[in-house]
Amino acid sequence: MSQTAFRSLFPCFSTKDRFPVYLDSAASTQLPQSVIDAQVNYCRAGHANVNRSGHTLARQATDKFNQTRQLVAAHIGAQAEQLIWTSGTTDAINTVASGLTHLLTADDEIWTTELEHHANLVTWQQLAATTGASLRYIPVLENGDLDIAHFEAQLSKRCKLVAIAHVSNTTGTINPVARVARLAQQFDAKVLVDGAQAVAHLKVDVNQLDCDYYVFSGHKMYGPTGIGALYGKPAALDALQPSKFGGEMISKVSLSGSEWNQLPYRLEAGTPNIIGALGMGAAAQFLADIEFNERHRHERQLLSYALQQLSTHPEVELLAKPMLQTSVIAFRLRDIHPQDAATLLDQQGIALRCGHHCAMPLSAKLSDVGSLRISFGLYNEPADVDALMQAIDHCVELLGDD
Amino acid sequence: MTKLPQLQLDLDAIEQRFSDCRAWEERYRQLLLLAKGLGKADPTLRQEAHLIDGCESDVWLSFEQQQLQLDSNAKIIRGLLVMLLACLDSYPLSQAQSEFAALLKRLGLAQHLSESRNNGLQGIWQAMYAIAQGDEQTFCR
Ligand SMILES: Cc1ncc(COP(=O)(O)O)c(C=O)c1O
Repeated sequence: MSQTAFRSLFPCFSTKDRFPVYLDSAASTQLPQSVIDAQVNYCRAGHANVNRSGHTLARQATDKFNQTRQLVAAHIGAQAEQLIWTSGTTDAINTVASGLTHLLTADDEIWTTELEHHANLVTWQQLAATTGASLRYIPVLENGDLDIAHFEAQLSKRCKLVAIAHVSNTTGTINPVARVARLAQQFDAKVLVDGAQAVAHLKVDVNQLDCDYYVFSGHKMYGPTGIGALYGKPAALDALQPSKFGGEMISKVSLSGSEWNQLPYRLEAGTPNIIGALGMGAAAQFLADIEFNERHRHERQLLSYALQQLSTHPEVELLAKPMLQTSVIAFRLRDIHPQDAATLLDQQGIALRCGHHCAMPLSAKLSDVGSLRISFGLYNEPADVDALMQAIDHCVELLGDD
Repeated sequence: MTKLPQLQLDLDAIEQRFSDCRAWEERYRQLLLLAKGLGKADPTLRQEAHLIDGCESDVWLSFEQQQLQLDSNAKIIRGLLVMLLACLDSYPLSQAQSEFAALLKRLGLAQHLSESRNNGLQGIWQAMYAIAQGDEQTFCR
């Protein structure tokens, strides 16, 4: 498929109104027609609640919903029964954190890294605070990679859990999560991988990573907002105590107490986001329908073109140069506050992110005033990079003349 | 003694400067020029204790010895601060905020009023209301 063919699958790029040069896919991706259709068609055809009523419409909805669970599970190489619907990555991380509270004591350690999104950092700070466990961080090196040697040296049997991003939302660093998982498992620690920034760009196989939990969001892989997933190995999911109650997570209720349903239902309280799940399933199908190598080549070409253009621009400072990187670049303009730059880039129709990218500790390490971040989706083209570079020149010209 | 020692331009002078602006570049050129007209603040203003919450850029505010001082490390915000001071100079506090919003709309800079930009303008007003505690004339001459 050619570049323009990818783009043509996303209706927002052919609207009459001028659509921005969208370089903010790490925040949220645009939706292809097939994902929009999956949701609209389901609503139009008639909808019913799932896993509850026995009438034909409800059974049809339930079947469709269960096939969708399979589709999304397959996207990361998992089985349907290992996949819990959540409202997103943040919700999934919180489900794991509250679910593990009962297993942690003040002697234990939780490890995360300095490059995490707040969802995968603050949640563990809270868990550490409630259980008395210590929270430790794998440091970030100058170039944006993690200092795994430090982790390896410090790791002990006190460690009960390691929570790590597959891909950093700030620098695009691809972390060696399989290696981290191997190290952690020597001490029987559980490993949670935050895949929010990975699932649209990498070929993810949870069996190969051998992590205990893998969490991700629909809206960062061309699906809708409000839906996401928590994958877990059977024992790892079993270990989680439910933190939300009601609906199909219950098997039996009496006034003196209740019993929980089996997995995956035990961790899915209330009516699920059926429409969102169908959208996320369609997104998984959308990605499966394009050969991975083709997507990968397109994204690699974009990334290297952008890196080449940015790194040779005299006013641009790249803030990280990870060994392995995907789809995200952090940079700033010399002597220009990122917010000033972002305002003038926005005026020129460039949509990018400015600030701390919900990763304040890492951001503070990279630059004392925050950074600019561009991130790519399948619909981006080299022309978008050219537009960015032109807009940067104009921005420097406007802001630079002191 | 003025309560707004950094004030250098009044509202009329500001509107005058924007009156011929057509393209967005011209508006922002003027705004960046305005930024240079923000009077110097005390070197002690830029400290943690004076930092306003909720800003993508840093904004510092202090009100000491009946003098309001403001500063930012982002130029566009500094330009907006010049406008804000001019509004405070001409109107009582709560009216100044709506006049400031109206001014930005008139000059084609309304996008800086959006909450989503999280640029701290709202935080500045809140900090000033907290200082004034209902006294509308706190920052007026
Ligand atoms: C690495 C990472 N983790 C977690 C999240 C949170 O995702 P959500 O807001 O969909 O829950 C994000 C979103 O920016 C992210 O980039």
